[in-house]
Amino acid sequence: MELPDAAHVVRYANSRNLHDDGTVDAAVFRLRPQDSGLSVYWLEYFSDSSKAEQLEQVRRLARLNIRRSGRLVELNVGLTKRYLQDELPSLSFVNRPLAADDLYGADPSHSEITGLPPGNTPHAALIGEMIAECVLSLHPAVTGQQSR
Amino acid sequence: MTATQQSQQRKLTRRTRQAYRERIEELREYGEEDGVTISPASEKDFWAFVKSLPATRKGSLVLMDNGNLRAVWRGGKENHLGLQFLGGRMVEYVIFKRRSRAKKVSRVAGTDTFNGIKKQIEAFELSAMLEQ
Repeated sequence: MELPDAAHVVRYANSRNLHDDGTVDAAVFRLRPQDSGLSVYWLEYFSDSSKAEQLEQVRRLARLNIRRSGRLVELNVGLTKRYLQDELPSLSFVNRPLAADDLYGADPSHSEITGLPPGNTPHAALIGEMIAECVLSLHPAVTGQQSR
Repeated sequence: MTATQQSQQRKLTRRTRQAYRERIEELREYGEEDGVTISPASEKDFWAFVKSLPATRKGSLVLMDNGNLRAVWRGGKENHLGLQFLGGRMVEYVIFKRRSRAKKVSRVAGTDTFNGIKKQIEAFELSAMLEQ
């Protein structure tokens, strides 16, 4: 299912990809060779929750090696798609829930940014920069209660 | 340039390079946590590029998943230069530039040699953004 334009997603950015001025580098939005989409987490899936509660759910469910120095980077779907529509009309945000397995519980908020160019191309660098310009805010990846 | 100005510029250059050294060590530590090692070829190229410029304003450095260093310089909200150091004196560049009176921001990306990217920096009138 494609996420609605009003949706907000967060993507994990590790500290290697954060700039001195607190912004996030374009590298966070480049595909790795083995990936077809970038994992993001749909905040409004956790409806009837405050933003803080939505983020807490993401932290609890995400299958990530989250570091205290990392950040959750927030994007609005419609704003990002509109900003990139001339440069990358194929860009979309798709809900791809993860089923529970031996190690993890189900993550229904898991989604992907799809339609991106291969990550090792200059076009990917340009697209990454443009997506980075759409970042609304950065949230701590780990809160006080968490020990990771 | 007067002797005083030359001395000040040398001090600034030393300070910038020290800041880069500290940042690279920090990135090395962050990388170790994620199993990413800084590519020696990329690091060598980064230093060669920085030292080939007369006096550069410090850019912001990050470490990519492939082990390459990437430096970004920003001038205002719409002027931007990002360089990934690929090794072999090649860079992947991204340039965003709004020229005066232009409605749209020019955006280009590609790969080029050190000499080639320096020519592009001049052509896009971004040299001042890199200067101290």
